[in-house]
Amino acid sequence: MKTIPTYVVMGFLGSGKTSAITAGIESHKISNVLLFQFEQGLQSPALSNERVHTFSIDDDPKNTISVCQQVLQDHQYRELWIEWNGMGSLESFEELFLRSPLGDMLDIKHIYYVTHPQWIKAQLPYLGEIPLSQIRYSDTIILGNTTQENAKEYIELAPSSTWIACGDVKQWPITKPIQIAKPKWKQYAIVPIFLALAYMFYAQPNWVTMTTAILLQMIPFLLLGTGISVIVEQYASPYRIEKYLHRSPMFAYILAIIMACTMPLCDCAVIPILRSLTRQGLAPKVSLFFTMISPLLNPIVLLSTYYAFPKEPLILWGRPLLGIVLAFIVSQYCGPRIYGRTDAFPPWKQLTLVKSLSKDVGFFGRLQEETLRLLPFIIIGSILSSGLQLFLPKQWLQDISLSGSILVIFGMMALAFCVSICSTADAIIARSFMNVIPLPGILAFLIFGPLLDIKNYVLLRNLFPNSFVKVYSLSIILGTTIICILFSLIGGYAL
Amino acid sequence: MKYIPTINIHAAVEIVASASCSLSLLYLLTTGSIYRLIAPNSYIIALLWALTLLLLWSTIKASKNIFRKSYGSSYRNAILYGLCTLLLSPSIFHAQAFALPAEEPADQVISITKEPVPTNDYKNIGDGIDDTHRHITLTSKNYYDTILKVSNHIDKYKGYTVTATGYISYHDKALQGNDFVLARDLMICCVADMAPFGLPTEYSSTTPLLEHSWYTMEGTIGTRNFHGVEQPYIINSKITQADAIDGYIFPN
Repeated sequence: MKTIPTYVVMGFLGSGKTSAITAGIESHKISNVLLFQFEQGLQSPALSNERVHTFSIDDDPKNTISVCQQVLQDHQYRELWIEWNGMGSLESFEELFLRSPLGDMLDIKHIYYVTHPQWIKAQLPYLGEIPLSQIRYSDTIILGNTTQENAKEYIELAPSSTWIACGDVKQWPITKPIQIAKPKWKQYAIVPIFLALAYMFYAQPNWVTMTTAILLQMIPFLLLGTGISVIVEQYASPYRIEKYLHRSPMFAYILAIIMACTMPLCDCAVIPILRSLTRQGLAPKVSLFFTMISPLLNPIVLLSTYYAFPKEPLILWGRPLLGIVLAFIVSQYCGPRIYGRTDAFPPWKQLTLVKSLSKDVGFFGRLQEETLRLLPFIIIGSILSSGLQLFLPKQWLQDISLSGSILVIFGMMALAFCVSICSTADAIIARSFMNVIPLPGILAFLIFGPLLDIKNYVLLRNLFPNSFVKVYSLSIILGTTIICILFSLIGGYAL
Repeated sequence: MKYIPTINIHAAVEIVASASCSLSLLYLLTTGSIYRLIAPNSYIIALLWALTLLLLWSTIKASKNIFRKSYGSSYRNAILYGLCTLLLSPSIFHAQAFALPAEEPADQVISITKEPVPTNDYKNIGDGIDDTHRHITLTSKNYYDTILKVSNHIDKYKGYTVTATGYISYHDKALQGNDFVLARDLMICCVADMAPFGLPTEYSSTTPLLEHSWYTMEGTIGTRNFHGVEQPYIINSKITQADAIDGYIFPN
C-alpha cells in the first residue's frame, strides 16, 4: 500500500504551530495537502476547510482512527500534516498513528516542536512531563521570538535534535539551523566498526584483550556512578540542597570530604555524578570539589596507597592532603565555569536532566539509558588507552627520569593520562616506578591520574561545555605541577 | 481495515544483541574465565553481576516492544551491545592468558635444559614463611604479599632461604650482569596494569637465561642498596627448569 508522507507539528497552545504549518506547507510547494488538527486553535490559511479535520485528544481513539482512515481512503492526498496538542501524550500519539491501521497508511517523515524562550522559562518547568517529552521526541525544535545567539542556551533541552531559531515562526523554512541533529545510528554503522575490530582481532589481539579488560574494569564503576547520579536526579531534593548546603558553604565542603572518604567512587564514576549534582542545584564549586577529591580520598584508594607506600609518609599523607588543596583551588576557579560563569541554576535548566520519556522507565530504565549514553565514550577511552599502553615507546620514561628536571613531573602526568589506570590501583603501579622516578614525579602520577586521564577526558568532553573542559584540564596540569615543585623544594627532593 | 502488528526490526535486533552480551558476560563470570582479564576483586565482580542482571532485564524489557511500532528508533543500543559482545568473544573462544612481551631479544640468550620439576604452586600454605626453619616458600597465592612483607621488613628476613617458581625477566634495569628477576605476572586490576613482579636474583653464570623461561629457584635472601633503600636480593641461587604456571598473581 502506498503510504502518505506525514509531518507532525507539536507545541503548546499559542506557540505558533499553525503559522509553522502554514509556512511548512507553502515551502513544500505542493497541492493536495491534508491537515489533522488536534487543537482548538486557529486554522491554517494555506488550506481550505475541507482539507482540515479537527479532533480532540479526549475523543475516543477508535472513533478518531476510524474517521482518519475514512478521510485518507476517500481521497489520494500527497501530504499529511498533523498538529498535535501540546498536552497530548506521546503514548496516545503512537497508539493513534503508529500502532493502529493508520500506522500502515502513514509514513512519518519528520516531527517538529514549536515554542519560544518566554514559554520555556515561564511555563515549561511547571507543566509536567508531557511537553518536555514532546520536545525530546521531536526531530526539530523551532524556537520563535528570539535571535540565533539567545537561542543557543536552550539546546541542552534536546541536545540531539535540530534547532532552528527565528524572530518569526513563519520564517523557519528559510532559516539556517543553529544546530543540526546528528544522524541516527543505522544498521550499516556496524560496517566500519566491524572492519576496525577485524583489524584489531587479527593483527593486534593483545590490543583487543587489553581494551576488553579496561572496559570490564571501567563499566562497573560507570554503572555505580550512573546509579548514584540517577538516585541524585530522582530523589535529591533541590530544595533541601539549597536549604542545607547553599547557606553553609563550610558545611558543604566538610560534608563533601566525609562523603569522599566513605564512598567507593573512582574517577570513572564521578563524572556523571558531577553532572547530576550540579543540575540538582548543588553549587558547582562544591560539586567540582567533591568530584575531584572522591577518586583521591575514597577508602579503597587510601588503603591501596597505604599498602604500596607504608614507609613513605610523604606520599601516604601528601596524596590526599595536597589533593584536597589542589581540588579546592581548582574548584573555586573552574566551578563557576561549568555552566556559563554563573552559579545560578534557573528552574527550566533543571529540565536539562534527561528525564524518562515514558512512564514505565523507572530507576533501572534510567540507569540503562544513562549507561548506554556514556558507553561509546568509555569504549573509545578504552581503545585509546590500551593502544597507547601497547604502542608508546617505553624508553622515554627512563630518558625523562634521567633528565633531572621538571620534565619528570610532566612525563609522569603524561603517563598517568595515557595509561588511565583506575585510581584504586595506581598506587601499586606507582610503587614500581620508585627505582627510577623521584618522589615528586611519583606524587604527580598519583594526584594527576585520578583527576584527568583519557577515559574521563572523553567523558568530560561529551558531558560539559568545551570551554570548561579546557580551563579545567589546564588548571589541573598547572596546579599539579606547582604542588609537585613545592613538594620537591620544601621536602628537599631532587627532581 | 484491521491492524495486524508486525515485528519491530529495531527491537528484534536489540533483543538479540543484548541477550548475546548478557550471556557472554554470564559465561565469563560463571566459568571464571573473566579472571584472565581482570583481578578477582569481589567488589568489581559484584558490580559485574549487577551489570549482567541489568542486561538480562534490558533484554526482557526490549522483548516487550517486539510488536510495538515506534517512531525514531535507532540501532544505537543494538550496535553498542553487539560491539561489547564482539570484544568479549575472544575471551570465550580462545581462553588464553595474556602474556607480557619480553624485554631482551631472544637470540642473545641461551637456555639451560633440564628435566622439568613439578611445582607445589597451589598448596595453601598461608604466607609461606616458616620462622622455625628460616625458610620462605612462595606460591601463586602468596607471591605478591609475601615479597612485599619481606621488602618492608628486610632486616628480619635477611638470611632466610627462599623457594619460588617464576619466569626469567630482565625488566629491572638496575640488574647487574646476568642477574634476573624471578617474576610472575602481577595483576592489580586488569591486564592493562599487569607488570612482572618478583625477586631480583644474583646469577653468576656467563650465559644468560632465556627470558620468559620458567625456573624454580632456591636461594638466600640478601640485600642490595638502591638509591638509599635496602631491597631484597637473592644470593647463592640454585635454579632448575620448571613447568610454566598458568595464570597471574594478585594482591590478597
